[in-house]
Amino acid sequence: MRHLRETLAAYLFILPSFVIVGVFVIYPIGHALLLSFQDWNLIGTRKWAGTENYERLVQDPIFNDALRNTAYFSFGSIPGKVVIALFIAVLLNKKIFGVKAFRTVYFLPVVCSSVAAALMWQWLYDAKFGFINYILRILGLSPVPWITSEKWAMPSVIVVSVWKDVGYNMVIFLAALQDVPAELYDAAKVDGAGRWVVFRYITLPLISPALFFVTTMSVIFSFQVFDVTTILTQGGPGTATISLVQYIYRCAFQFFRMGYASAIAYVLFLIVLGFTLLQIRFSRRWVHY
Amino acid sequence: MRLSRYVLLLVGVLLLGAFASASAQEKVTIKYAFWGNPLAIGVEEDILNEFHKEHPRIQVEPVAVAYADYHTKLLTMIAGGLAPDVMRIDSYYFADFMDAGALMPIDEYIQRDGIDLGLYYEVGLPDSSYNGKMYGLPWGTAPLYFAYNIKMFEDAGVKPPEVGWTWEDFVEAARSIARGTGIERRYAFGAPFTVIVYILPFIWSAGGDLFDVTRTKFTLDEPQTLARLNELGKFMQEGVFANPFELPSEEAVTRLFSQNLIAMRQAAAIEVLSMQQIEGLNFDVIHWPTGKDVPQTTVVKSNTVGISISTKYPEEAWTFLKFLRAPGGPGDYLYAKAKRIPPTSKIPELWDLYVDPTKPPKSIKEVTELISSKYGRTLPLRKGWLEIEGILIPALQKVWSGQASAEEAIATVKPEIESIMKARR
Amino acid sequence: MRNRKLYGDTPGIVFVVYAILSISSLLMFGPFLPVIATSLKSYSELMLRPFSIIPQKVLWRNYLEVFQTIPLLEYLWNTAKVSFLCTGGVLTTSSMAAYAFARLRFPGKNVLFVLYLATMMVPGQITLVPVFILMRNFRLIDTHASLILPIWGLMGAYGTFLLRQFFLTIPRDLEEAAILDGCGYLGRFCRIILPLSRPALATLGIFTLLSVWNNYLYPLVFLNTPAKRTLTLGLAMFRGDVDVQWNLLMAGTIVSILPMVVAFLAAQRYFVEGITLTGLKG
Repeated sequence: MRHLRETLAAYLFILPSFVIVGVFVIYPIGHALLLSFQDWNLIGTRKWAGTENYERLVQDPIFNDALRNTAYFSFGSIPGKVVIALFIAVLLNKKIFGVKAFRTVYFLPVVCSSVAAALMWQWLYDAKFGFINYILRILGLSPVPWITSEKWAMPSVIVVSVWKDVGYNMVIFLAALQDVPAELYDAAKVDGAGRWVVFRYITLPLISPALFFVTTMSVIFSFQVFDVTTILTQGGPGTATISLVQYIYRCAFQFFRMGYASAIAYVLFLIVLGFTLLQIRFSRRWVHY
Repeated sequence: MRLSRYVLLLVGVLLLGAFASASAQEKVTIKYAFWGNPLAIGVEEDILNEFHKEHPRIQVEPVAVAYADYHTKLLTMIAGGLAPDVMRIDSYYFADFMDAGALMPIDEYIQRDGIDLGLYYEVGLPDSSYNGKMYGLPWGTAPLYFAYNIKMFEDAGVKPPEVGWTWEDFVEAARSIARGTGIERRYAFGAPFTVIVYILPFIWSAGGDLFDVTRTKFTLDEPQTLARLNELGKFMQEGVFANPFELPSEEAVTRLFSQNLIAMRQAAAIEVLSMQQIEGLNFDVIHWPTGKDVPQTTVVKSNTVGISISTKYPEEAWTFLKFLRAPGGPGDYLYAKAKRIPPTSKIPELWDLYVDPTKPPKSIKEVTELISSKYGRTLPLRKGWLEIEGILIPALQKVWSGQASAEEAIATVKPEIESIMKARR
Repeated sequence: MRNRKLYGDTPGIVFVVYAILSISSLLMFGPFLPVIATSLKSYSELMLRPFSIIPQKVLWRNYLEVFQTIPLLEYLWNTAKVSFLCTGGVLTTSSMAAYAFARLRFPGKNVLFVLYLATMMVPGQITLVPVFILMRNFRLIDTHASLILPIWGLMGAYGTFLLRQFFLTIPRDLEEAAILDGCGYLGRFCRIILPLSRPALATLGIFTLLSVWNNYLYPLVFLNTPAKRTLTLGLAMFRGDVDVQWNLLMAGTIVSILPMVVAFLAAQRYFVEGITLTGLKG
């Protein structure tokens, strides 16, 4: 009887959220899944295409480039976004002079729009007149074609993305660090524990739920990168920085292949789902609730 | 008793009158979609105000967004069954829209209302037609001019381009102008080469083209075309042309052009506008260098404003379209007065309105006339243009950087391009 | 207010900390300098001297021009309205759902949770047309509701996940005490979980505000009437098809960032709350 009450209560608590999510997110996702088995140019009628789209994308060189780029981007940017954010959050978790100002400065890149961010970094990266190359020249080094060479384009994009998103994760970690009781630190100090020990055995386990959140969401978001690669490098040079979502967008709205774009989106979905499930399974070992 | 009967009668008459007048003044609302920045949108607002004065029964609601994602919005609206009644479509997308059946043919209306298509610059008309029928009226028909920096030519002691100049003249001038090293390097020509439009004038002057006349065969691998592409690559590697990888956009070109570091460039009407705002920049325009027996080497781009095939009010939509785009009509005058895009019809008064004699480029009127009569050429647009471009450009970029010869690069992408050309959509 | 001197700080440590913070702050803020400079330049100078940090002629009137060229205040109001309504919705529904996931047992819990996560794995660009068709069927095209509802949905999953993680760290003892006092699910939710979750709620609030504030795709596609436009749309108008009025665009961007910065400063209050938990077993 009690279980029934609990179940009912649970469903009631979830209901409002589920209605909104169900109608405005899950239903359109289902519709898009249906589209992936069709052939549609958005204007005319839809034609049934079976698994044609899926068969095609396996051989599509641009899809493979986009997949490779997206994986490169994700695994290149996630460590920075997590570790740097955590480090800064720990430093800013005290009431030192100017802590509010520092936190705001870190959050500024998050607040500004992707267009503005891309513009800023385009200037910094400009091969001829950019600030970074200007400094290199002063130091006597040769300028680097940051966003126009196949070698450096993606690392340059990664730097911009880390710069932009570090503040975001920092805020989450700050909130999590708030919940670590002061007494624990005091007790540790009394026991003579060093900084690293305290961090490793007290702080880290206590914020592990937030850490799990950040790493999981980072994977989910970075695989869907769009703004920074589109605006900063337009997917170039060549196909060095084109991302999966960028290619999806182009297929849907420039190449008039909505069904194909949906199929690519579903492959992306399955990949991310796979990673996430792995992370969830693995999380039992290190996340403490 | 009698009073209440009179009151009822009065009320009845009033209601009847109101109903009658309401249906007589029944307003029709149509949507008009276009792109623009605030200044361009201001012009459209003026046109709408004028239209509403003349046609109070038709209410036109503007739907305007920035160019960058305009077609995404348009496609989504059409996909959702809410297509705008009158819409502007960029020529790159036009063939695909037509193939999918988005617009209705307007030949009947054109004939019925006596629109003289001959008043348009002929070069712009093909971009608004499909399978022999007209599907809209041209908008923004304008050449992609060849602009040159007068000061840089003077400094180098080189004669500026004149009407009738050829590819050989261009090469000679280019080699004389390009000089210097490092940041101070002065380039003869600069372009991002990120869209097909940039290479076309050059391969046209070599006697080649992207497709054949029917636009069903890919012809970029003809020997004279490949040779010309290799030449372009060499210019970039030698530094006669600016490194396209360092020019992410037309704007970067404008910057360097204004700083007297690039001597020659492509310039659409919008670039002309931007360059006019730069203090101290003296430039002029001309047609692109011609080839042997090939005078038509200047791209003329023309977009279309058409009527949706699913509109509920074709008559009203046509009334508005006529107002907006008929040659010499009110729309034409207002566009010319705004001085943003050159007139699309051969009507002298429009040019007088558009041209500002105090600003460069001085030759814009004559050059435009020359281009439309002799030197202009329409783009070989077709279904799948953007997709083909997406594959072709990275291949060409290998030629620009010297990683591959034109032969190799084109051979790699030819099969894929041909399969796109054959694909059902 | 926490007044921590953690880890036995010596002046040396403090100096190092400040050094690290200052240098990295410079890296964070540095790229904004050209933006500010650009917002104060004329178009001509922008082309001739694009990379200088100090404009030759400082044009404060650029800011005025932005307000005159587009109805920035109107767009600000629209954006604020949509953002706050959506944020309110997300905070309410996500916290309730998160409570269920964190504290209650019920069949289908894990499947439902993964389903929620899954909703975040499909890019918005591909659900654009399906959502448009849905909005059209609800007759919500060209209304602000068409912006609020889908983003509420997207942030719903995110918010539920975030809050669930935070709720799980709240010690159960507190709730157990309340149960003994006869407190029901709703009571525990309102009186114990929520008050202890202020940092998390503030975080989610700021993030939701931000994601609506900066959203471009939905306003672009769902809105038609010029008067209903949001900031992102308004600012995007400065990007013509080839010419971009960077100076005005940057001025407009700076103006649009300010409210978010103010909101963040205001929310910081909730980040410095400490929890002193008495009765915690040693």
